[in-house]
Amino acid sequence: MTPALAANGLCLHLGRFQLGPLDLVIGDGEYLVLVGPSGAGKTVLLETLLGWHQPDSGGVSLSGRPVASIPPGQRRIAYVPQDLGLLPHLNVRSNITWGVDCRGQKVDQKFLATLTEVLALETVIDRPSPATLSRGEQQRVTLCRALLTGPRLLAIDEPCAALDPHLRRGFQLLLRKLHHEHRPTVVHITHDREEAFLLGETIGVLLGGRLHQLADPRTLYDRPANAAVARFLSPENLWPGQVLTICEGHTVLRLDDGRLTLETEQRPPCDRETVLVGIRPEEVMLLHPDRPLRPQVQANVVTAHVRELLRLDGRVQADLETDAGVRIVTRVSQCAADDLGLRAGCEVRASLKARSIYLLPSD
Amino acid sequence: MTARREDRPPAAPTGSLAATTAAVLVGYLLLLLIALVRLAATGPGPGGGTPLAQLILTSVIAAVAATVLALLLGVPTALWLARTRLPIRRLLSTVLDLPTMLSPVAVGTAILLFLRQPPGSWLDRGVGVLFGFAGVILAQLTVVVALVVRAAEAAFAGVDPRLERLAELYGASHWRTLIKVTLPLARPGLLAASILAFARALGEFGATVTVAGTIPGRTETLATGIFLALESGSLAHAARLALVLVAAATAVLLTLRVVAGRRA
Repeated sequence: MTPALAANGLCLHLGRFQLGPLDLVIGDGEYLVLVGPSGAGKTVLLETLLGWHQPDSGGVSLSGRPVASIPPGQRRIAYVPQDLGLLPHLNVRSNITWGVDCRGQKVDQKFLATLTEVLALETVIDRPSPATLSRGEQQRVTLCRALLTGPRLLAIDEPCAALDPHLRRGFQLLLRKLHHEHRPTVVHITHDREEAFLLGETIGVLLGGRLHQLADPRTLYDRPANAAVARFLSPENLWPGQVLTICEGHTVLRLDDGRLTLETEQRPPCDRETVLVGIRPEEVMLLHPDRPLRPQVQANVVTAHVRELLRLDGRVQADLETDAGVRIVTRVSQCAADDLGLRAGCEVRASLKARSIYLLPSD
Repeated sequence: MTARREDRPPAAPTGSLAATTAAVLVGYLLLLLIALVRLAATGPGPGGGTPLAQLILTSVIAAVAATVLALLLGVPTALWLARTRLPIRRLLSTVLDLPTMLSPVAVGTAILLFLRQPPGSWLDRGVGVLFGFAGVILAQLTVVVALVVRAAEAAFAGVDPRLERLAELYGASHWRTLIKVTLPLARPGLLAASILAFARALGEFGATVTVAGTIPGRTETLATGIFLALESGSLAHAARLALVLVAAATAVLLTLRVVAGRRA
């Protein structure tokens, strides 16, 4: 089957900034999230996919046809830019139907009614100007305008960045629901890693203009492709280490700055002995001092003391340090922290599950 | 854009000096106006020149025609200037600004010379520009067109080209994008441009008198009529004509305020 959208060897220079070369494939009805820090080239990539920038080499194809060969109006792409692009001289209803009006088509009133209900716009649709709407309402108006055109591809740029934090999750869930119900192909860009994991069926990590990894969320979580991706997704718990032995099904490692040895189920990514060893803070378990160890956690048990406790909203982040000087970050619930009697300076045992430890080529 | 109104600049340390300067300037302008009013009131009855209604009619028709033509020529030019990235744009920009910087009499002289030989003479033979009503319009048009281009260019530059591309992506043709997006968004600026052009055309003297002269009933306007009245010694009549111009200018400037105020 031809992919809904594909980029092959895409490369583009804008001043000093270089995007690509990169390859990208999005299946029909798939939800792709491109995540990266600001300045990574996310918007440029998105607008190149729409055909707004002419790549220096490589190309973009929509359902197998080069995007440049399709007149813009026939690409059936609906774009929701970060600044929304609402028209101040039109009332809210006209702004919603503007996309369809541009086409010179008639508005499907039934579909409009469905969308305004789902997007909770019934109370604001008769307002005289979009300037009187809240940011969240403006965002939903623009989304409604985009969906009303019945796009083949929906491109959304940072839809939640300008929303108040307490509204963000609601809007993310709305996008998720819309995708489940209508299955449009979506390219969504964000700098928010949590948003990427929540919405993306496939996540692309864009760093410095290059697509470092394109994978499903679980793969990205368990096996980041390289140190840059691992640092962007979770900067904690990355240590340089050395491969000691490779046995059947697991690898034994020694961390450089200590006498700590760890086992992992992953095979080393390269022939070199030096690797980068990582584990997500969420996968580091603190063990109750009085309880005996279960056999499956016995391998990588580390004794350390608590350097600092950071109380976050609902979770407690414990920064640990082993006697040999290896720093480990872990996060537990408030109750678990109470049960474990966590205090700054106290000694704890932590289990780093062999399954959760990943190995990366050191850079 | 209420925020802009609330963003008051901090009081300047030289505030009182600035206020005094403003008071002196406004006072001077008011004294000029009072002088006109006093002169107009003291003099004998109508100076026997062209009837006032005829002058106003000639002036308004010429100024409206010049404004419409300036918009027809200036708005597309401004759209092109605002959107092109060609280096030649700077050269063209400079040429377009020339009529604004030259003295209007010099512009009028240039038009006279242009009309003497082809292709200008064809125009003169066809429409009767020299010392004709068409000459009034041509002179005013030449003086105000740069004004329209400048103001309209600023208006178009304020329209986000990404909105136009978005319209295109949703399937709008170039014309549809222009009519549905670009022009409505630039509308306040374009309105201001036309009002400014009309006001300038209404008061234009130098180029008009050089190209079209002051033939009563045909090419004599309010502005050139003042000159004629002064020449023939009827000062009161000149003052009255000037007051009509002042009234017209005030009306135009007030309209401009309202239009610009609605911009938000």
